[in-house]
Amino acid sequence: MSKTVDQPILTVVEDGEPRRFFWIKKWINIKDIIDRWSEAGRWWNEEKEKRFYRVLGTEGGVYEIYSDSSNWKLYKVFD
Amino acid sequence: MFTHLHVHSVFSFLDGASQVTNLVERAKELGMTSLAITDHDNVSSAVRFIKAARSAGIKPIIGCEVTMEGGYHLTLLCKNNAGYRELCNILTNAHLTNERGNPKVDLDVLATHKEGLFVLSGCRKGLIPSLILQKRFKEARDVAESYKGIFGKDAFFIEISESLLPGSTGLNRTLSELAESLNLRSVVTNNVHYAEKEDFQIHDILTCIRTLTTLEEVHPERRLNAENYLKSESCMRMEHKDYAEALNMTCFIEEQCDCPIELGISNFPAFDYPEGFESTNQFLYYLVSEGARQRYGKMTSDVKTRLGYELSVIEQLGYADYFLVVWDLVRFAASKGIRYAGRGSAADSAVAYCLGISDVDPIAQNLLFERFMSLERGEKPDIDIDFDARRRDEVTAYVYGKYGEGHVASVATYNTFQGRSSIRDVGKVMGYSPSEIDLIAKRLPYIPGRMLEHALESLPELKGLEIPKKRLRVLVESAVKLHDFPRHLGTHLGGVVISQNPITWLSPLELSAKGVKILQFDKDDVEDLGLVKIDLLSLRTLGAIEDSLKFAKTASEPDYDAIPLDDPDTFNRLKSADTVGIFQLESPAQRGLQARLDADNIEDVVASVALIRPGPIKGNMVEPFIRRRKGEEEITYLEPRLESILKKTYGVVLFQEQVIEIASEIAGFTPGEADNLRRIMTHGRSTEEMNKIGEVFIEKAQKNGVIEETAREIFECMKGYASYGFCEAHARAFATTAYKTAYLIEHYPAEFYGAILNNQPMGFYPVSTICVEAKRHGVNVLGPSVNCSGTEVSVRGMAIRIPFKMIKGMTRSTMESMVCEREEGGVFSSFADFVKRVKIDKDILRNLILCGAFDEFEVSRRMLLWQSNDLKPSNRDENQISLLEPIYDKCSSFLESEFSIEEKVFYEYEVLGFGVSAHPMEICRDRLKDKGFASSDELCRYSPGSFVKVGGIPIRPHRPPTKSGRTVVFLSLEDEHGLIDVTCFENVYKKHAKLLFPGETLPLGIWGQVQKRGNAVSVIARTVFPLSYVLTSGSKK
Repeated sequence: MSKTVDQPILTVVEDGEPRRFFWIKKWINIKDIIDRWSEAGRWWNEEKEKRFYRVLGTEGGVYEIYSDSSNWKLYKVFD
Repeated sequence: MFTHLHVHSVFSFLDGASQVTNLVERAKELGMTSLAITDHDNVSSAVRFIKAARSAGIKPIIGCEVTMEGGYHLTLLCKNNAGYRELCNILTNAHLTNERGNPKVDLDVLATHKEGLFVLSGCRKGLIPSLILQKRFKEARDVAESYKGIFGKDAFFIEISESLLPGSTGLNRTLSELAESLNLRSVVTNNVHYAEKEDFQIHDILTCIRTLTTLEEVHPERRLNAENYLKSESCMRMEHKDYAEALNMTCFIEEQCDCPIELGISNFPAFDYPEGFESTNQFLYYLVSEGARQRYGKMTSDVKTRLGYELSVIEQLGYADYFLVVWDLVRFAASKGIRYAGRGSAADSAVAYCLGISDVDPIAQNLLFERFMSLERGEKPDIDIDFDARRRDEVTAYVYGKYGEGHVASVATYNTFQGRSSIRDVGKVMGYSPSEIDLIAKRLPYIPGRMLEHALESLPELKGLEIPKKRLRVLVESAVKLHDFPRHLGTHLGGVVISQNPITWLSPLELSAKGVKILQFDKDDVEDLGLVKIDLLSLRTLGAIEDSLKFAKTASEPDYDAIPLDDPDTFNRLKSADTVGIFQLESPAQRGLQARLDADNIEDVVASVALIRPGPIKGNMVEPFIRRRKGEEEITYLEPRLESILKKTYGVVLFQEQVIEIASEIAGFTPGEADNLRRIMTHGRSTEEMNKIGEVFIEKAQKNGVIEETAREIFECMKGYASYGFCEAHARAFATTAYKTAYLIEHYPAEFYGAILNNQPMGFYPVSTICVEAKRHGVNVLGPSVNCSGTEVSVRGMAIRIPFKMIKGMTRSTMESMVCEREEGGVFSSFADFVKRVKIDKDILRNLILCGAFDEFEVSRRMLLWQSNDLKPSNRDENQISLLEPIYDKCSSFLESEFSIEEKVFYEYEVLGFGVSAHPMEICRDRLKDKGFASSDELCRYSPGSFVKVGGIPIRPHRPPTKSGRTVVFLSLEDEHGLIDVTCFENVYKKHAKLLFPGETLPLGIWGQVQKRGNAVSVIARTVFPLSYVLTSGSKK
């Protein structure tokens, strides 16, 4: 099961990839990137490309976060 | 070093968004030294890829992404020529043994033809990756193991691609582990579909076109992201950092792949000459000598010298076989009574004339052989032959029969996106409504896609469209990007290649829509492949000539070949500009020329054919030519030696051959140098190239005794005229046919107009205009009749009977059943008798009624229509009527009453394309007369400069190029008596563009000034208005 959040998050990036992000008053360190993909979106409506990461937090949680080149957002949280 | 080994170009037809040259340029920019192209199930890009890659210093690797049974993909790369031949065999089998457009490679066939090929496991659509994505790991391993067994571990590679799609990370990890466990090697690719990231959008649009979806719709074929571009090596290394060895494997593969095709190696078959001759050359000499005796009678020294020279060039260049193959074809056509005519520069050859390939005597006409062939140029000569359109396929079948199915194929064409088609396709994808698309597309002239933005900005008929600007901008920008992208393969109109070796050594074969086997290359590419194309063109005019002679057989049986070329009546007809229906001389511009030229010999017809072309019109050559022809302007020559060359065209450089002659005579150019000059001029090459050859010309001319100033003037004169010069041989070949059709239409009007109608579509004008013209010349055009019409036009006396085949929706089987039933069971006595005896589709029956085919039974068309609606469908076939018992109910007086004349004509236009009962203008003539409108036959009574109102159905409005660059629209208004030619200058066009190019047929009224030029009367428009405004309003305009 997952919950869609789609909220902006503060993210630390190293070598082009997310290392940790800040959500609900705490930093979540990324232990592993499980999957990554990009989506072009509705380009004809001038939507920006998004880069998605499904990540495993060090505390054991699984999250989907994405960047659209200017902002980072937490998209989903998995149970 | 990294090489992209899995790349799609635009030749992946709607699944590749970059031209070959863009891919090569991008690879070069990225510092790559090699590149593969692997289009879907074809190698159409191969020739242009090799040429572009070589010129960029990049090694081309030829490959293909094939579709296997089950729809799975595999990537094949050719190591060498053997591999390429096997690939051609594999693709040919995939195309020819499956439904057209849905090729499937059989694994057994691939296994049999694996030599010289590398096999890569493919993208996500490969069988192994797709099984892994479905978590069917055991099956994936079995398949990989089986492929390893079939292709060997040295030739089979697991393809790893970081496509940045969900699941890619896991997929690649599993693929890599699978390869390792089976001792297979992996290789990194990027499944490239476009050169640069931003090209994704156009790829997405192409995918939508291919899958018939709109941008807002979801389709599994549409790619989620823009990652399938030609990425740099550093980018690929970063994204595949866990697969460094697989990435380096591209180098290993690249090193083992050589370019598998050697371009330009001739592959023409040796002609099988008869016993008693020692070589093809000897046989050719013999045939030419025999032909010369027939053509010339006495062999003069001029004839001997010319033929000897031509034969020696042909022999030295090795084209004797080519001439003999063509000779054999025309001999076959002649033996079967198939009318043909050589066209193009081949008519410059006396050998072609003696072989019966062309009917123009180049010795008598002093035509230059060098325009056709030269030792220095050394290129294959191009012989084009027109055949009667209906029988061209018999000639093609003869070629297949003679040289064998495996050695003959038709040339393909790359059907590309043009302005209108791009707008239509992109419009659909963007969710435009059909009416919105029509609004733009129907008003667009035929322009290439790259000119769309300019057209939208500059054409007044496209201004003020009720489409939001931003939306329109995306549409136009996307449509422009599709410019020249191939959409699918088509069949060349007449190009056939014959090869010495099996044709599949050079190209895969596939089926065209007509079921013809076509190559995967177009006419330019086949020549680079060393294949010799023979153009077996079809010309409906030849069919019309044949038919008119057949119709006339019951009259005075004209001998076409013996038609006198100096018939005064024929020239009088040309002088009066009465040329609708005459080959090449019927357009408004040609009629305008004929009205002023006073043609009185065949030379004038030759000049006419050459003059009415965009170049001479744009170059303002027509007026000086006419003035000199009529003695109104002095004929001068810059140098006395030019007189012999330019005398026949009154001192004007009109023909390309004249440029060659001037260069030879004035500057002492060799024939090859002179032809090179002609090519530079006629192909509009760069200024630099033109200046360079100009300096050579001037220098050589000076050495030849011409003073520098004169030499410069002569060169400038040639430069000014030659960019639109026309091949004289071609003009002569066409002029003969043009003159003879003029003769036939003059002396056998019913037969020739009937023949034109029988060979539709042909010529410049629609059927309605031909019928009006026929009537104007006293020919009665009789509508279809179930008892009198046949499948073809019939002519009796001065009457033409419209055949069943001209009725909309008619099928061959219906026509044959009607004719057969009539012949066997006698004429039909009534409508009921007809429907009782003929099994007929309801829609066809409706059309027969509406065009008056049952009028002779004297029952109203309305009544018949009603009765036909009551016919019950047969139990055997729901769409067919087998008869039944029509219910003759109590008919109201309404049903018994006939349609009004307006209704009749409306339906006749719908079904036949013209009015049998009347012309639409005839119906409203009284009202038009009341409002002061003149008809076409009254126009000549008006004095030049006087104002007049005219009305009619607009025929072919067009805007040819003009010298000033301003837009001038020419159109003809058709009324019941003929045509009224109208000219709309730019101010009128700008004001009334939407009426002139409405995208539908809209009867127009024109108010303007009468103009008389020579024997022609036309109207210079001041105002354009819909005729309906006048007809519905009560007051006089």
